[in-house]
Amino acid sequence: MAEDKFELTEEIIQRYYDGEVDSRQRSRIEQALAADSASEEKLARYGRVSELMQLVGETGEADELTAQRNWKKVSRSLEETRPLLRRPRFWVSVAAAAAFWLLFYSPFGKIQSNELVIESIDCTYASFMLIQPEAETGRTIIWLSDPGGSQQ
Amino acid sequence: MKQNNPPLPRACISSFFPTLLFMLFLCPYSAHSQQWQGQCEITIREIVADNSETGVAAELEDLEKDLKKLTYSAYRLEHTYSRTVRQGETRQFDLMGDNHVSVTLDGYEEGKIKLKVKISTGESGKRAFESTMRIVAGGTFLIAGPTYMEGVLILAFTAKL
Repeated sequence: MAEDKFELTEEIIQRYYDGEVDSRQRSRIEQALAADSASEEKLARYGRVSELMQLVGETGEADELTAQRNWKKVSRSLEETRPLLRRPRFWVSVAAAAAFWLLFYSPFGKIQSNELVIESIDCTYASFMLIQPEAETGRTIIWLSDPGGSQQ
Repeated sequence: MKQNNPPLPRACISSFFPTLLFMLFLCPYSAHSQQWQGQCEITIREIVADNSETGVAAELEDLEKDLKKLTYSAYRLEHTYSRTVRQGETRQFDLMGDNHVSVTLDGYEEGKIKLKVKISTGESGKRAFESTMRIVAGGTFLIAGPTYMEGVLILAFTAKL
């Protein structure tokens, strides 16, 4: 008869960690763990969680605030074990940096601001007019009006 | 009490990487302010606008959109002057039709080149225009209006560090 296929589930790993398996199961689990690095990592995580829970117990404070603080510590520790590229916080930071970059610096150098700040104008022409650009890339035009001043 | 802090490099890497990206991308932007060395290059394009023909000269392609706001049908580039000006120095340019322009470099303020531009007509300078302005490095502005023959002169000023 063909042997049942052994599947290393979260529950089995947890039970193995907690010492709730018999010697036959233990040896099968250990073989499976040796063959699967991802499951081995899961086991290591249980170890870290357990250490942290022990730490919670050592404080001896059972109030809600302490429990919340300890839970945050556990969550943070679990977060640290996640690969960098799978952390939402990482991508939020990258998105913020990219947005800032796009806001202040064009990636291809095509957008050249022509922003002009005029501090003072002193004019003896009949009149003058400022034509402001509609877009950031447009140019300010100062138009001097000089009717009847035609020259050769 | 036992501390269970994560190893320092792992804890820092998630904030370090985006910060590094940000710094790298910001470098070209901040380069403008780093390049200020007490001088700039002023280029003046002397353009004649009238209604004798139709069209914008090929050399003025970059200004075409701006020139089309004016009411002339033809725009020709007559001369291009380019000079390096040091801080506090004034450069004079003699234009067509007894028009003169002087440009003084007043410095570099708030990330912009500060210029004093003076335009006068005739020896007595009976028509004069003077303005102090600040422009981004590489930026261009236009002063139009001094009359020339049947049209007007348009001066396109570009300041580069």
